[in-house]
Amino acid sequence: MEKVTLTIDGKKIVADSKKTVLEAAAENGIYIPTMCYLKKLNPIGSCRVCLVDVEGADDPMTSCQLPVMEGMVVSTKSDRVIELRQLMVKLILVNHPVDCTVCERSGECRLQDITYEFGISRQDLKAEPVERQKRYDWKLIRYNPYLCVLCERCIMVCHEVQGVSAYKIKNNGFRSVIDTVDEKPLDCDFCGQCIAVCPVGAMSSGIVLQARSWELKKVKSVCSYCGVGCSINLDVKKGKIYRVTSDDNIGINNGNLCAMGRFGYQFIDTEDRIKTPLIRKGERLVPASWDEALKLVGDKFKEIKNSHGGETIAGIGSERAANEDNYLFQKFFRTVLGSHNIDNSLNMENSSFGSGLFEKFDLPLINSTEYINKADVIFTVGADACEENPVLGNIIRMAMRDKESRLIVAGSRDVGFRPPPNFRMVYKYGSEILLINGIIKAIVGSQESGVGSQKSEGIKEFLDFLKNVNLKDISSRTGVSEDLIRTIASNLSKAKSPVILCGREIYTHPRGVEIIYALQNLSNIINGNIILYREHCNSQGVNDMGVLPDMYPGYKKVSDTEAKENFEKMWGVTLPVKSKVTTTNIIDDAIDGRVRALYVMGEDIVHRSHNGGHAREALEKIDFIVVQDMFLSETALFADVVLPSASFSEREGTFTNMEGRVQKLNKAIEPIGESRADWEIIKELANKMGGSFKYSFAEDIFKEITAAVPAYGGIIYSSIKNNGKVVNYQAQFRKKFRVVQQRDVESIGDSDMPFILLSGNTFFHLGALSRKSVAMNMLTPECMVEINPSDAENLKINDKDAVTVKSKNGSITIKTKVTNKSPQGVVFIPVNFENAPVNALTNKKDAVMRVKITKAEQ
Amino acid sequence: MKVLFSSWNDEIIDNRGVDPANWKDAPILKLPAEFDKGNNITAFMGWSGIILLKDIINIVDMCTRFIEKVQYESCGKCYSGRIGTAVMQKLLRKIASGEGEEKDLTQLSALADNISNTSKCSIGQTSPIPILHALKYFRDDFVTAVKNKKPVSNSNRYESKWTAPCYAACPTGMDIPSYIEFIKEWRPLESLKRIREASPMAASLGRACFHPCENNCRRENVERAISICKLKRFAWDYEDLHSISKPVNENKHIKEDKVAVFGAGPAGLSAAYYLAMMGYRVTVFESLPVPGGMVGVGIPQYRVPKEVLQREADFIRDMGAEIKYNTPVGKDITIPKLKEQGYKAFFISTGAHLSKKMGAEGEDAGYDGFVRGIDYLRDCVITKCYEVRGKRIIVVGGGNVAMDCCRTPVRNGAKEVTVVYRRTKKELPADPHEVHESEVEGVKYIFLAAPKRIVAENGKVKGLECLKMELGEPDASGRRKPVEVKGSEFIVPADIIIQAIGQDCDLSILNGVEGVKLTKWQTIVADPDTMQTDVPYIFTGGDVFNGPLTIVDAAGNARRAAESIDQYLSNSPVSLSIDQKLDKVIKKLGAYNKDEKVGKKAGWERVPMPTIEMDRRLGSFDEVETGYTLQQAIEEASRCMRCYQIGMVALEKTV
Repeated sequence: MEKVTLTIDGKKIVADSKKTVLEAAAENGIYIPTMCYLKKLNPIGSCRVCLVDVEGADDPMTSCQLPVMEGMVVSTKSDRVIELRQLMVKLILVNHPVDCTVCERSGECRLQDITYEFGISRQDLKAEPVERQKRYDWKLIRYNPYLCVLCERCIMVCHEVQGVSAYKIKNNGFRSVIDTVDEKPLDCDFCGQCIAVCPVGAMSSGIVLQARSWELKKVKSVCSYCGVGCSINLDVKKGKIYRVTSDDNIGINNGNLCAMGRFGYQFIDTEDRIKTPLIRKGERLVPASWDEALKLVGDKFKEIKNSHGGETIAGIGSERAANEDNYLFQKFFRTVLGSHNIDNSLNMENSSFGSGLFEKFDLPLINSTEYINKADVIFTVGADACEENPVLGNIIRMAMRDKESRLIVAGSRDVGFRPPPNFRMVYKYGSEILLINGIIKAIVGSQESGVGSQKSEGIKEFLDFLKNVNLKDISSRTGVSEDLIRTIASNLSKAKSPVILCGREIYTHPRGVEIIYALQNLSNIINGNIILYREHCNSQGVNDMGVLPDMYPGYKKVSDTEAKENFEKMWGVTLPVKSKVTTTNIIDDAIDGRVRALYVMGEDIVHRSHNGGHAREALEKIDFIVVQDMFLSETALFADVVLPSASFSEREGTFTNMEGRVQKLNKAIEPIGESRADWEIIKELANKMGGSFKYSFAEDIFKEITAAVPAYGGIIYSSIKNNGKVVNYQAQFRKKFRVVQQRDVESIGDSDMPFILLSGNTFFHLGALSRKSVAMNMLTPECMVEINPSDAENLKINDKDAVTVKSKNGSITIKTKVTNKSPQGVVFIPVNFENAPVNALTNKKDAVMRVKITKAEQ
Repeated sequence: MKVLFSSWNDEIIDNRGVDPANWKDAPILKLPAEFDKGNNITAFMGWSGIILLKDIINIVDMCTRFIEKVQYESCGKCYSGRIGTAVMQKLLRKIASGEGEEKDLTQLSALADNISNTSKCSIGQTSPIPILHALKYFRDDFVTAVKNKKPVSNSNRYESKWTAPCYAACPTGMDIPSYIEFIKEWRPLESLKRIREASPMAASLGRACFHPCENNCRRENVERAISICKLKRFAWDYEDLHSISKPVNENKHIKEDKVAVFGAGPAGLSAAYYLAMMGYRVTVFESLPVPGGMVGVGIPQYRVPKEVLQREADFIRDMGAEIKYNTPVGKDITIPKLKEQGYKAFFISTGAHLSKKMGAEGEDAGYDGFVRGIDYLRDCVITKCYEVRGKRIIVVGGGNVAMDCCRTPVRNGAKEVTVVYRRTKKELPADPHEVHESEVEGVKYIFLAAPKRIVAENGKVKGLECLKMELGEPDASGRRKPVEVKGSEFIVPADIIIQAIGQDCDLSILNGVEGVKLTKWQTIVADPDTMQTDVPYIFTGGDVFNGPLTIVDAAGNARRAAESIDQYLSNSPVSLSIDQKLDKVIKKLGAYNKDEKVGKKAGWERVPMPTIEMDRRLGSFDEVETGYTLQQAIEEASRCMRCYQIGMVALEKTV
């Protein structure tokens, strides 16, 4: 990078030629006051507070926008600029009500600070007052134009970082205010970034802050929603969380949060939380003491273990629980109950993305998002980055802005991106492998040498296979034009550091593994990296911790006698020899009567299973069920004992995100009611059953984890700070080509069921927690089936009409959302609504359902 | 002109108290006398000061009205512009209403000075200037207003409008600072939307515009003008290269009236676009198989690729204009026949596609190896390039067509290309950038030489006999006229001679039409404000009206003509709006002062346009310039100083 030498306030400075004067000054400890400037945004230049004088120029200039130049002589403290800066602040105070006593931003207000800093105690300027409209009709965002300084940070963060571009300046001159672009009530991502960046109290949360800023203590934690693992602060006063905030430059989110991260915390303290243990008395679950409940569980487990063997007791761990909870959960099963019969939902649905992740695939799929930051081409496959993992969307967007990364979005739904991607491919569901093979063919076909000379395993067979791949045929079967396939191939082949992102659609796909194989071939050819999304905050950790029927922590096989010996040594017990009895999963086993007791921690299997009816049937058959959760989930309704667990904010522990980054939870408030951290409950139970679990703190468990899981080795709990610690999976990877043939996905349905049913998370909801958050339910209150406009027209269905969706397995009645996101012949139903369970329609893991849609009877 | 008072461009002319017969002259001021027919301009206030023509203005009132306009137009994007001018407005209104105090004058003056120093754009920076001038040179009027404690007289009519140096220089009236700011803010699509308000031809203009805006850019006073032209291309390319659904025309065909447009060049396509956007049913008749007119067949592919032009035309088609290619007019298709078919208005933009003669012996002899520039370029696009491989080429002429004619054979494998021009390099009318690129590509020049005779053997060109020239007195164009040096004949050997010294118009479209006047250069006469000919339903624009001129002039004519056609078809008077009249006044006065000292730090150089390597240029017609990347475009756009400024006229009559 080119360097220039300049002088600021008499100090000689060498700076990178792409820097601004403000940045160069800051790097050298020279303070220039600012108001509208924000590091993560392009300079705005509205406040004029950062004015400096430059030798050779008559006018003062804003240092935030002024590039450094060779030989430049800058003064940041001339009398003139000091006076002008003062004037700028005085001008804001012309119409700014000095209502600091009732303003919720008081104490963390840039205007307060700068007025004080500049020593402004009075100002004589006046303008004719203008009436402005307060906007309290924007759902979770409130805008008070009287407090607004029109710095435009909200406009820019919404545009540059969030890609929504919801705001504009309305009116001219003194009458200017912020408004939505269409001047209708705000309809956006509700990420609240505008609130986070507002320097004053103009933008505030719809969840009105009922504390003064200086009363709030910020407790660092990790968001408990998706697998991105954003760093957050829980702002606490007297044992209550008042809001969630974030710090720029901390964590992978750079201060960005999505709606769920910022506003979805209300589940922590709701009426719905289970406050005491519950024990079934006939039809009812009635409150009980911990002693009573744990004794009952312990006795019952002991009884079943003694009479039927430990393996008849099954356990389901949680993608939402901390590593410490999951580790102790499996340890309890293996050492106390003598059972390997444990699993987690992700692994149960498709073990290749759970226990098999490091064995099944040739290339690493758990990769740092740093690859996105550095990518020149980003290829997302079956991923809706704007809605599924909005902060990942932010990361992609920053790469597009700062690195000019090209974005290619491919999916069976037209999910798009904001700003528009360079290319968009909507393919027919089930034709992914064809498409990827087609792209590879187009790349290889245009590269005469290179690929063929590679020495990688399987290359010859693969190239032979490619010979028979016909682009024209692929185009007609995927619905993607030959031209587009070639263009995308050319973009991918020219990329220097491409990254491929795979979303939920892929890891829930019946052909998910083969799709990844095909993408690995592509990645091998273009020298890319693949990143796999993780749905929940600890989807990765629960597998790392060995909540798996066939693997110990660290993916050590249960059948491996050396591993068994090592763990026996570490845990001081004799471990059961046999792995899980069957190859089917716990639910199927239960239906077959092989499960006597079930212990479910932080999971709602009725809701999560691909077949809700099947899960219910299984639960009916089990003699004794223990559910440990924050809420009385549908699964909990089947329980004999319910144990209340504490939320992530009420305890310590760690989550491992989609990158394999271990991040720490800190205790912000006391557990609600009598709830306890999951690990504490397990510990008590284990000890009641004769175990010897001697852990006082989460840290003690973590220490054991670092010994048990080699990838976590060397991480010291107390040293896990802001950016966490990245786990080193030490897996052996190799460049290997595999011939991946297209196999059509089985589709189940009658001849009068024309639509392919897809499902996934809807915006503003994920897992069980968002549905317990008032704010999130306000944003997306109900389940809707998404349908293409022309399909809707053919069926004479309007937007928001109630329809009945019927499959071979069942039917539900919900409203429609008519949208181009769904291609013709495809409907999408979110998985998030227990009152409209899409798993009432689905019944088979490796198939796709076809459905019929009819207007519901009024 | 003679004025009562002027502080324009820092030059003080003060004739107050002097007998009008003895008023000092202000030669640099170019304010038109009339605003409307019979309504004189009495004063002008704006970015650079005050001009008073008559002593009937109350300066306090005028300042108040001016700052009200400023406050009304100020964009709200900086504290000083937004709030500072509101404070000034309050002070001025207080003084004008007779409630002012002496100390208000001091505060006003200090504030005006500071706002000028701190504002983000030139509205805030320049608008305090006339107020400061007024406070300085008309202090008594303010003191009187304060002392009298009575409202000042306010009987004058004022009209005001924003402008900018680049905007005022653009024939299409494009809001340049705004589209550049959108690019700076990473909003290329909004930028394109703004560009399209003034021209649908962002792809061609962004590649091949003569960019008078850049010659009127205040950043040139600092170091180098903003790359305004190429930023436009960036906006268009962004839409073109991304997976974006193009805008839709919500007014498509909402009107029944049919309009015929002749020629699918920049004028024809632009007119068709605006008429289609207003809901008219437009048909464009084009004799060539490709769109773009002279841009399509005159400008080579390495500057404006054919595919780009086609996509640009297709966009206009999608907005609702039917384009009929391969459809010559004048014989089977004539204005009277179309009129019978229900067409209500006609826009003639058939361009200037006939080669002018150079007056050299043998040019009509049909020698093998003698080609007319326009035909040469057109054949290259439509049929096949004239074979030049290994040959020596002479191009006669020095305009942009000559540049295209000399850079094309370079790409087709010519051995040597020489341009013969009768004046010197300084007088070359071609875009200097084009001249530079031709030199980079190896083109040689012979200056001060005029063709006399084509040397041929057996009907084949062997060379060009030239006469040496020297420069004499300036001619009507202001350039020194070349004069022959007697007996200075010399022969330049050549295998092919391409003559490119100018074009004439083919006017067969006027067959069967009575009443349309022509100039002595055989171009169509029309009202330059409205583009209406003497036949009320016939309008014109582009080269057939201007003579061979620029794309942007053609596009500008077309935008005006479309408005006029709309006025004509909705039975309104075909005339300029008040804003357009103000634009005319400002244009005449000059919105840009090349001698102005702009107080910014110099040294933020223009971002160079990336180009392809030399080995890819020779032997291929690949586009030479590859366009700015996003980062480059944002940086270049960040150099823009947003030189918006406000001008206000006072008028003699209030109606």
